[in-house]
Amino acid sequence: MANGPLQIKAISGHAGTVPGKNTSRDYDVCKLVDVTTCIGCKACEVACLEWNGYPFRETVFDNTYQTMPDTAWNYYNLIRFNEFTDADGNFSWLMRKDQCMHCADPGCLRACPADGAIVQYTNGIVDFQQDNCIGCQYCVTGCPFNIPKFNTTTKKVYKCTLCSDRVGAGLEPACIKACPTGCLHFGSKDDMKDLAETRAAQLREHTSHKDAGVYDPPGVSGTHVIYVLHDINHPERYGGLPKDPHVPWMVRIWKGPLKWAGNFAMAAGIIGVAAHYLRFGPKEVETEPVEKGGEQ
Amino acid sequence: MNSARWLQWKWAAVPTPGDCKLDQEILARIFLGVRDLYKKEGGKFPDPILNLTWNYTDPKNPPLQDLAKELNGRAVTDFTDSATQQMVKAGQQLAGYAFLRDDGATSSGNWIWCGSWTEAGSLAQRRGTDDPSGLGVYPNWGWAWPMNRRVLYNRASCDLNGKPWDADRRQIWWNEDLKRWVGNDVPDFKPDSAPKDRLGPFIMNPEGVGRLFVPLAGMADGPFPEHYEPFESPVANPLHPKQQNNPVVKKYTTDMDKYGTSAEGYSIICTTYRLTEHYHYWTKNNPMNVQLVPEMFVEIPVELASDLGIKGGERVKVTSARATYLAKAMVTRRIRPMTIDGKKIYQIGLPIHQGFRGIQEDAGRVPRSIANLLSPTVTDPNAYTPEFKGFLVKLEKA
Repeated sequence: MANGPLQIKAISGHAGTVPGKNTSRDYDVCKLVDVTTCIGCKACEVACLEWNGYPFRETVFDNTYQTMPDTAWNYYNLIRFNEFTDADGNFSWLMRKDQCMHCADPGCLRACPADGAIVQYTNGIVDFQQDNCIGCQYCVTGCPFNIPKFNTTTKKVYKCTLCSDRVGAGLEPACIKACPTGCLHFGSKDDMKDLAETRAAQLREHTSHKDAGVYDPPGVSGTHVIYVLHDINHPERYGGLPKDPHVPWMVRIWKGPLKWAGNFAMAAGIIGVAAHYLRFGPKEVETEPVEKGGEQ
Repeated sequence: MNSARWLQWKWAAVPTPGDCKLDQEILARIFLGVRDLYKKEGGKFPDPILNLTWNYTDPKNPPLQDLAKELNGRAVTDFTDSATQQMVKAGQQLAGYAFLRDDGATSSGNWIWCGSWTEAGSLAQRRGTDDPSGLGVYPNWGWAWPMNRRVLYNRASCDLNGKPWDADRRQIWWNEDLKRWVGNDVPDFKPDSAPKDRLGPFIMNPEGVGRLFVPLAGMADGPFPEHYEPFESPVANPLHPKQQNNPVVKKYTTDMDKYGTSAEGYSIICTTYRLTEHYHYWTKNNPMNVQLVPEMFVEIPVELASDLGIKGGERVKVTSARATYLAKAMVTRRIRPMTIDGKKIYQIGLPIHQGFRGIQEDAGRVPRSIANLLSPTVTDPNAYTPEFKGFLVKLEKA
């Protein structure tokens, strides 16, 4: 859905071209998660369940504040907690909201063989369309963040939708609405990137977090969920955020060059057979003298 | 009511589910039952119960409007207010506490709320978003006690001549022409008292100023601030070991009111607190909250857990002189050992939430230990704040 203002196509009695003709004012949306002001209250976990109509589940205590070890087909976002002590003995309790990153170059979409099972909107949201999903789980292989989760009963895969339905109606995602500290922000990618860089600079200049930075990994051409981290050099400390995520080479090759190589091999095979037939004709069965008393 | 003293009337969103009853209905039915028993059976001095005014439109379930009006106060008989010469008829709601009288002509639940429900209606229901001064006063949003004063002692915002100290944040000021205090808030002061008369702004103290030195009539202890150790403490009071605790601390004398010392083995400091995922105790009954924190735990420093051979997730027993508490261990680096007076001292923490009933309790999945049985009921002699956040316990594997 277009999220820009009205665009003029034609102007009466106007000399010259229509200004702005053929430009697009659709913008990419982005969720900014400022890890440095998150208190780990889990309002976002609950808001996501409530908006998507998923039931609350039984959990078990596992020596952590983290609700459960991993996201699930019906539990799209999870705060990951990590008690970390560095080499100098400085202690931090890190907490990071984990969910689909809505990559600009989504590995899930590249790997998926089913027509229409995964779509990417012009605003950057990557959405699963379960009606078209064949349950092959290639998307699980393609995702560098380990996000898509398979439901063994429905045999489909699920993940965070960046509340595409809410965004399509001009609202912010449910998690952002619920966040009490305002550490979650929503807006255009440009604006959110600006906000994130300003915050990271503020941390570097005015606090002890000299390595603060913005996580917007180029290996997947950037993401529509970005983080401000206290320490941009060690994203793995934040519950296993990968340092340099990219679409796996295997998926790239298999869905890219290997397809063409395969097509080429097939075409070459057909042409080769045809050429051989034209040059050498069909295989003739030669009549041989029958040997007396020999094999038939 | 919030911590800025605002009364904000709220409307019920949904009716109560199942057999649930609102507080006022429960209290009303208990009262009517007790009154009936006194009528039938008599008893020692039943007068206050038999003669209690109970004129609500639905005696079994008094509407909150009836209660709010009663708390505000009304005229019991016709009277003329001496200050304003206003005639007030019997049954009329009173406009403010200045109208309250000591001759039985008026009744009011609490003087601080007098003015919240006048003849004009419920001021707590107002939702005016105007803020003409830009100071965030919002004088027409709800009603603040007393008399819609948004900042108490606001006379102190002006100098001795009645001129505001800060020109950008003028709350009230003396108007020489009108010979009154006026401004962006209701003056918390005698409105016609001129600055030259030097009436002090702290009107609740007879001398009109704040106090550093507190006469004994003002506080149960004093006259100066002092340091006392909690009643159960592992160290001697560094200021004066011979007077460890507050000599006028309030204690009780039931058989649960026992205290432990380090010498008896209660050598670990215990504190209690809440989690953001919870709201007091009733979120034990909400599947959403129970999902986020499935059961209560004791937060134990890594070093102490290692000393006692306790692993995260194991059940542990916390014992005070009063009770025991069972929960799972959360072994963490967030709580560190302390060195006090040369001794290594450990602290553990209990988020409070489990009780006798709840989703997990009813399913038999948690031990039903109550944090408040563990802590001592020793209270501050002035504010009656109990010492639930600093006491001594033993810790072991369960």
